[in-house]
Amino acid sequence: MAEGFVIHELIFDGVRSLADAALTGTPLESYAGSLAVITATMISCVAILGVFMLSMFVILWLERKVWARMMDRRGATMDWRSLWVGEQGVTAGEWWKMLPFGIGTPIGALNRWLNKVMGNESEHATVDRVGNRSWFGAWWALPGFIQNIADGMKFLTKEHMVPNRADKTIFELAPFLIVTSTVVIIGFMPFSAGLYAINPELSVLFAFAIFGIAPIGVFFAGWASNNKYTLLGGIRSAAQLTAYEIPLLITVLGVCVVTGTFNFVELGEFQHSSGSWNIFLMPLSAGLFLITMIAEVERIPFDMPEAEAELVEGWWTEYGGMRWGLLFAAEYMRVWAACIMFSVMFLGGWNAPLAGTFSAIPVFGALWSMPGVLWTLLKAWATFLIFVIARAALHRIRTDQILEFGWRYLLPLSMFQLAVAFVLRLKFFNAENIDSGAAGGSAWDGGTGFAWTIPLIITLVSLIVFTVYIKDVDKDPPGRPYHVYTTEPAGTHLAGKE
Amino acid sequence: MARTFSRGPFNRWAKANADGYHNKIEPNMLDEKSIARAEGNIMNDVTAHEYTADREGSELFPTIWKPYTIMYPYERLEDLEPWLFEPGQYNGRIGVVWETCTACKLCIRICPNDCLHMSTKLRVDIMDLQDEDSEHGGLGGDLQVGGYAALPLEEVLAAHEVRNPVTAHTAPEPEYRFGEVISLSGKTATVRWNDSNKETIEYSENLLRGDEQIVSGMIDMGRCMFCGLCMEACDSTSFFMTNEYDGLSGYTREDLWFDASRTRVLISEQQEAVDEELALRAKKERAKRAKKAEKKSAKAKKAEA
Amino acid sequence: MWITMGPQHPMTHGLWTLRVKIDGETVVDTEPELGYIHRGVEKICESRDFTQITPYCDRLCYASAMTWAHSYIYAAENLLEVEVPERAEYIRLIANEMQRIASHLMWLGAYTPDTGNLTVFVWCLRDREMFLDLMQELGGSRMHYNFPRVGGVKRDLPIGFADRARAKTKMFLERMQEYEMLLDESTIFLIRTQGVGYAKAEEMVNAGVTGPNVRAAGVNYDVRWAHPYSVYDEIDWEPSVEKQASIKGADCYDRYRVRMEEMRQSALMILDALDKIPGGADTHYSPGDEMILSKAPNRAPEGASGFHHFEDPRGESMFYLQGGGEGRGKSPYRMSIRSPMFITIPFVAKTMIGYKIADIPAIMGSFDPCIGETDR
Repeated sequence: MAEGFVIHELIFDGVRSLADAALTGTPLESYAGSLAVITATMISCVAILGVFMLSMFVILWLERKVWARMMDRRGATMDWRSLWVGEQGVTAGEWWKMLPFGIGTPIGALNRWLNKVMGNESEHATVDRVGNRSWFGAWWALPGFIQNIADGMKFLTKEHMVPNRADKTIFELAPFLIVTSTVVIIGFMPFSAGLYAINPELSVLFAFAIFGIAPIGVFFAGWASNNKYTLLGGIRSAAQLTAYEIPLLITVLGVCVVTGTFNFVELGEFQHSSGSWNIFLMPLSAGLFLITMIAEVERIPFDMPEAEAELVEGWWTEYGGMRWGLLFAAEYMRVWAACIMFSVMFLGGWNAPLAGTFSAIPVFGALWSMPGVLWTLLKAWATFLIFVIARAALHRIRTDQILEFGWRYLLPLSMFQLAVAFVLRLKFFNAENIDSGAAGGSAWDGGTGFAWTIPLIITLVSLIVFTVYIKDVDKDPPGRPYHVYTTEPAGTHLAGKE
Repeated sequence: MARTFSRGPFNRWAKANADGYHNKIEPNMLDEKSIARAEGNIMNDVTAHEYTADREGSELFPTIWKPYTIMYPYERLEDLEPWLFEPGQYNGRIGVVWETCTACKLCIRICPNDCLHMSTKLRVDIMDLQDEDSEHGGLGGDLQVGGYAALPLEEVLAAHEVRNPVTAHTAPEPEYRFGEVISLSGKTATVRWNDSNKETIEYSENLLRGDEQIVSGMIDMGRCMFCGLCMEACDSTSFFMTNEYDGLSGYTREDLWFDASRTRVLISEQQEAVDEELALRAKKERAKRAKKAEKKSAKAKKAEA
Repeated sequence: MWITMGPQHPMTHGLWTLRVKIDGETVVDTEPELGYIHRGVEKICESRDFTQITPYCDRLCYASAMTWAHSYIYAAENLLEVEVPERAEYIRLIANEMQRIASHLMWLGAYTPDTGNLTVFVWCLRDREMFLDLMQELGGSRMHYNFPRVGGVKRDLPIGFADRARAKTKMFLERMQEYEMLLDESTIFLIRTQGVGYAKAEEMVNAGVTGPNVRAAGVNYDVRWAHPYSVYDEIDWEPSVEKQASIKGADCYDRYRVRMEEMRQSALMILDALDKIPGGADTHYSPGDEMILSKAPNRAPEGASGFHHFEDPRGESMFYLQGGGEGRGKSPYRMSIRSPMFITIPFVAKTMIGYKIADIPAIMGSFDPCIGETDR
């Protein structure tokens, strides 16, 4: 759908005209064009970084709150606690009084007014909801966003230590590699058809190439820390990330084959103009993408490299202060980038589902036609919830099992999916029915008039296969309800007996 | 289901279909003392329990109704689950009603960790605190020259009336000024006050008798393992383990040496136990005086005869 | 190369060192080092009265304090030749089984994070709170209760305790289904624990390993069943024994299943005991009443000895007391403690050879070590 509000162009045009206006008549006149390009690129990069980081704070909040609730069945977390009113009017400390020059006074006044208006000062009331004593009882209004910023600032105050016999250059270089390669990807992430930092022809290729630099940094970090544990963590990590890069790239290749382009923005556009989201067309691809991405960003169930149970923090152990903070942030940036990529590549990105139908409804339709960037973000946040649920519910897989899974199961599946993608594009794609208008096209109708023929068939077949596959038909001895076997039982590799 | 829909308009239906111990109508109290203690206490009104600190939760909407986490220090477990903190059942901070302690040292002998120590302190004996016309009154001692006198401080007594021990977090202030009695004459007494070393003349009726009592102790809370054996050993029911678990911290090991004032429990907080002990001692004292009176009258009769 | 896991390590379930020799990711040799929290309990108790020793025994294994205090008290009663009233035995059974559930929940809550799942940790601790609250009502604090006395128990079941205990136990039985749903149906948990940490029955019996670890290999030895003490022969229950799934021995999954089954049996035992307790579960006798505490001598002459073996959640614990100590027999001359984990940990260290580093927490955790009782 053509975006009415192309921020990217706006910035460029604006800066261009400004540069022309400012530099006319000065000796720098001939450089106005290139200066404008540089300035505009910087501004759009900063703008996109801002959007990315602000939306990333939401996922940190989602993880803390949603996971906390899942784990504790509604354990409350502390967020704006300091403004709580306790028994007999006691607060947790009137921290606002500590701000200099009395600038905290209005905060205190605001707190008192809010407590007076919405608070409840019963002295020994039994509590029904933990939030019902102060104005903070409006639990829905104040999520714990600021906590993460506070955490980030805390990292700045911690000491930076380099272990004694560590390889100093590599030790310092490793976080640099990881963090910069992660942040560079942000430049390619489109939030809508008009909101991106940069949009080269082959943005998918470029983004995934840079995404793959991080394993080198991880390995450097593990080796250079002069620590047996980090070494183990780094080795495991390098093996795991390499093993999962390949199915990831083949999956992405499959998607690009079906779509016919290596460009993120066109991927999103294609899903509108062809009439179906890629997830229905290639559900196996979507699943593979999610699994390999969880492995790439080293979250549970694939977080063996930093397994707390054995390796404390794995390859991050020796880093302190902001270097650790940046590595931690980089992990979440990679997660967020993965979520955005998933939403753009599989969930239709900035396109509202069934836009043509729903926009016609009077009031709801206006909501449905909200700016594309919000749709992308909503879908990416929903994808992140899948990441969180996987993390909360699943155990850590052992490294050799992870590698076996990657090489022996995911790789063949992704090859299979690539073959399916070829067949889809060559045989079932109806190029004449591409329609970029408001109602989308019907490129996947397979000759019939119904726009969703092919995706529907594929989704149904996949669901049936999945349901059949996950049913376990082994007969097992009593007391052992499930019989799961690894190909090589652990313990067969006794030393010397290979 | 009954647990889920146990609020608002569904309350009566829930009570009729209740299971577990939420929404049960009346708990089983065995004797009058328990009933009296439970009356007016939220513990008795099980239908008012909205909080499931006992983690029972609601099976239909587990994530909505009942939180599991208690927001200490704004909410306290003893408010929400008072049956866990029955007086005398919880091994909290040591508290002693020093007025009734007889210094028998049973607690010191039973403590496995050597954390109780004793010294002396000036106090007003409990028999002297009773009014003349109260149940056990009139059995106290009189001011003696060379003994001690105590002047009650009105503001402190008034403050103690409204003191909330759980949130106070500081020791209660001493309620008397002590001084040595230099001389007695008729209605007045000359007292040299301990704090200022000055001598003043006061009306005897305003003064109470003071005693040097061997009941001040130091309790090394750093060593205490809260086993409760001392509470069981104390014969005169003046040694308690209170329900307090707060305020037991310090920056040095010496901070954890709690002296008598820090481990003090006001008489009003343990009025029940103190009254028991008082009745016991008053009985003994009455028996003593009756015997004395008998002997005197027997001697007088003999002298007459 | 040699890696040192411990003494400060998030996995080791206590304060000890496990030195591991690895070849790549495979474990080639191990060397446990114990003794970091040796507190000299046996020596301290030589100068304490029999009543004063009980709180020390609580602190032997802090995760299952009630059972260790009772383990000692039975030996002291054996030494002083005391008859315990039946109601007190039922109360002790209820307390011990609650502690068993709490201990196993602590085990599960520590074991699943070792394999990566942090959700079950919080669930287990939440449910453990239910039982800690019940034991707080009995004993006065949540972890070190000082509950049994020579000749009985400190105080009777409080008012309302029976209702609360029944409600919480029934709730716990429902929650067990949640745990099994999450863990037994999780492929990842199964591939982490099946096929890992084989320990043969003969080797375990030869080494002296007891408790759920050996019952997972098919050996039906539960002290409560084989040599019943207290009132275990009057309660309706069964020991949980897993037939080992492979001739190579019992793996981590078997040990996990044994403990889950034990928790269920303990819950059923509590419900049964509350029904069968003499005097009724709703009556409350005052402390010192002869229904719950019988008169006991407090001296043991020289030459007297007392012994008792007890089913601790981790195995078979034994106490041996010799009379005639300080104060003309008021203290024991010698107290000797047999801790099941002290015997098991070296055995476990050898079990780990041949597996990967990632299996070390899985294997170690499945044997449920508690270093407090190991080091005494």
